[in-house]
Amino acid sequence: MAGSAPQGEGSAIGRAPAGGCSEPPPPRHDHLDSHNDLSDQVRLVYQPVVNTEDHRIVAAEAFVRWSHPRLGDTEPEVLLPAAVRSGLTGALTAQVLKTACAQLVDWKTTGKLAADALVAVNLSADDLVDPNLVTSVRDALDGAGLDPRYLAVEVTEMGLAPSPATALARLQVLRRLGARIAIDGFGTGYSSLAYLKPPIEAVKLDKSWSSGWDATPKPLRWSGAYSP
Amino acid sequence: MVRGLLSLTRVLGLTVVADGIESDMQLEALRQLGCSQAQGGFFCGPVPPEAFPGVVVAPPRPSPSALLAAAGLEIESTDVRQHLGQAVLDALRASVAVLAFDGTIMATNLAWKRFSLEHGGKASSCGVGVNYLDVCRNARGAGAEDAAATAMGLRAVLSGDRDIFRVEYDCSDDTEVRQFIATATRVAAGGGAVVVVHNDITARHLAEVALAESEERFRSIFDQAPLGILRLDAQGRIVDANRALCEIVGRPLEQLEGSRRADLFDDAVVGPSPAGAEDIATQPVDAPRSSQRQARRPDGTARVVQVNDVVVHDKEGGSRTLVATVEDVIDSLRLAEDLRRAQQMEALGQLAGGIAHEINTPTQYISDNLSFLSDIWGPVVKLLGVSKDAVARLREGDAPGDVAAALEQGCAEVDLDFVEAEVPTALSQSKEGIERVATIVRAMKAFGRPDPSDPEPTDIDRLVANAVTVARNELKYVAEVTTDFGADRRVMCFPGAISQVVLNLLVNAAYAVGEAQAGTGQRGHIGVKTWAEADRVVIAVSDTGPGIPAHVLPRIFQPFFTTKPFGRGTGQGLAMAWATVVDRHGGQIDVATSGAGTTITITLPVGAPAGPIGPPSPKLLPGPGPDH
Repeated sequence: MAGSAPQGEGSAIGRAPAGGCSEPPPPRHDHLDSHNDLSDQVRLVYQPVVNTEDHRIVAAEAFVRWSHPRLGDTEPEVLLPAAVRSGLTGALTAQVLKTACAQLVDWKTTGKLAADALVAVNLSADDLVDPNLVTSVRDALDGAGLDPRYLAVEVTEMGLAPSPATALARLQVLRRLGARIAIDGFGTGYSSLAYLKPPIEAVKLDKSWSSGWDATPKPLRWSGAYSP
Repeated sequence: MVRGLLSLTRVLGLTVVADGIESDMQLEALRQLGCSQAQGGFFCGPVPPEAFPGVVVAPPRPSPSALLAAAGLEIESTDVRQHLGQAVLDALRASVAVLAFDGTIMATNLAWKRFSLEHGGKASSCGVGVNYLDVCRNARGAGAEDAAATAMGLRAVLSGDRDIFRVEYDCSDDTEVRQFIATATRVAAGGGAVVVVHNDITARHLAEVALAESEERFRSIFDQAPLGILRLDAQGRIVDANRALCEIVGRPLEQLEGSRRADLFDDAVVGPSPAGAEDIATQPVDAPRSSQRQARRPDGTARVVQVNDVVVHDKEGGSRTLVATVEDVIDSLRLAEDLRRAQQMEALGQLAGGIAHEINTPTQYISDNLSFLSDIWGPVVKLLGVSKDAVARLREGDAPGDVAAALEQGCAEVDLDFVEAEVPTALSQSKEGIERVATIVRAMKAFGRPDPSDPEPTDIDRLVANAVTVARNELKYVAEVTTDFGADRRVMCFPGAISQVVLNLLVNAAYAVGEAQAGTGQRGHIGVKTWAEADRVVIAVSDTGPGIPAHVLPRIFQPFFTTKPFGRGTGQGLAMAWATVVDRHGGQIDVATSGAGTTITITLPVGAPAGPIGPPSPKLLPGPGPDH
């Protein structure tokens, strides 16, 4: 699914949970003009990640939305190329990190989320080679007063692909800082087992995997219950 | 592959998150595969911060393991699994045992233990460790046969020859009915284990018995109904018939099933032809239709029957069937004739007062005349005596002058002119009176007489005159009655029925005229006229009544319709007139009415009645010929 998308789709930061691949290519004249536009027009939405046993929310994944002056709300597929064109990629990521961390702290303070809940932020290939990334992360954590353990960053295999060595080095730094690293959309690209090692400590299966399980689940075996 | 990947991630100590979960099935599948975390629309899509759910996303329904976790149970523990399994088994109402491949009972549930205790077994006789095959094999008494069959089926399942075995058996004793179904099922993954389940199906069994009884009951009602009942499927084939029907058509049920109605009944009778397959498909449901037809019996005889068809839907409104009731109408025709006669007698009864008066009047003047004659007889006899004396005296030589004087005196005592004038009158009047009484009696006799079975040549003028005679007392006070009998024909008809019609018309005319003349002290006029017209005879009864209002006119021939006050009319007269004249005699009735009066005209064909169904007479029913 990600493979057929334009360049921005491959970058992890705005991977939308739905609908990205069928979007038409964004019109060329759409771009972000300034940092002001970023703070005015870009906002975050969150999706809960739950424990499959008790359905407690263990994390909130942040997705970016651009309220375009003319197009209205748009998916990241429109925003990210615009940010690239405007040279605002780093600024966008910094803002996303800052907003997401602050939001998590807010929820924990008000008791909406448990103290051990995480916030997850998607990072793109561009982000992973950005020398300012670690600073942006640290600034966001410090600004919100959030323990790094509660920040998870998610990257796709495509995000790692352009310069794997640099990207993994960046992630190692973030891991040492205390953040959790997860690989996103696993199972569609190379599904390389090479990634299934530190600093990666979580794997998010691609959605296409879930859809195959709609048929009646295999009956639970009951051997054991009556073994003498 | 997922499974492999997931076990690998687990080995590597990675957290696995399922994404895009849209249903509880997906969730459950991936949860079982080892995903400890999940996200997706099933829980919540991406939402603005203010819409973000709190702490626990309420799932449509908790997963079993979540429930276990909430109860403090750890599913991974074998111990818990065993307890859980036992608890689930014990919660079942059915008796359950798990057998090892050799038939040894490995586990039982509460219901099993309870049942075996309740039925005289010791806990040890049918409990864990006992070989259930032996239990079945060694069963004695009433259930031994069932038990042996169970043992055989069970062995087949244990040996893997069959996957499932099912047997229903009876466990009833003197006090209660108990019915069970036993099922033995192989557990594929259970290392050859077999689950034996005994279900108490007594309630179902009793319901089935009750249903069968109720069906039996309805069947007997169906069968014993005096009315023939026939059921046809959508293709017009007979699927069911009751005994009465079999009797009517003279064939056993086996011969009827699958045959068509046309095989049983002629269609050349009254009413629409019997419904066929296409009618069953198209006819509106519940629209009954009746016809009279003839049942063809194998013995060559025939029966006239009334057939009523009703198309019915089955419960779902899908397939249609046709239910026909078939009634032997000979009896009802006979009944109708009896009823008609009863009404005729009743009419006579109602007229009886008037008729008595009619008889009384001539009787009265016959009596007066007889008194007159007997009064006058004395003087006449005396005169005869004087005459006799005179003759004797003349013979003895008495003086003629003396004798003449005595005779003159005798004659003076009797008014001979008066006698000469009055006695013949008195005699003729008496004779006439006697004749009138005789006429009335004859008319009444003609009325009371049951109709012959066939139409007979009837003098219509005399018939109408008789009716006028019988009704005279009703008529004479309200109207001057004029008659003009000019038909001078004999007509083939049922005279009693036609007389009744004419009488009804006369009584109606008298009633109408009486209404019109009420309080005026004057009489109206009723005219009765008969004449012949080619091959027909016409009877007209006209009155000077107020006429029939336009709104009443269309209904006058309906049964029970009457404008007379309660107790004065039953509303049967004109309805019966119509039935008699039109239906039975193939004639016609015309009504001409205005404010100045009404004339009702009856036209009868001179020949035999053309009506389809005559009075009850087997001779009228043509038997089945060789061409049938």
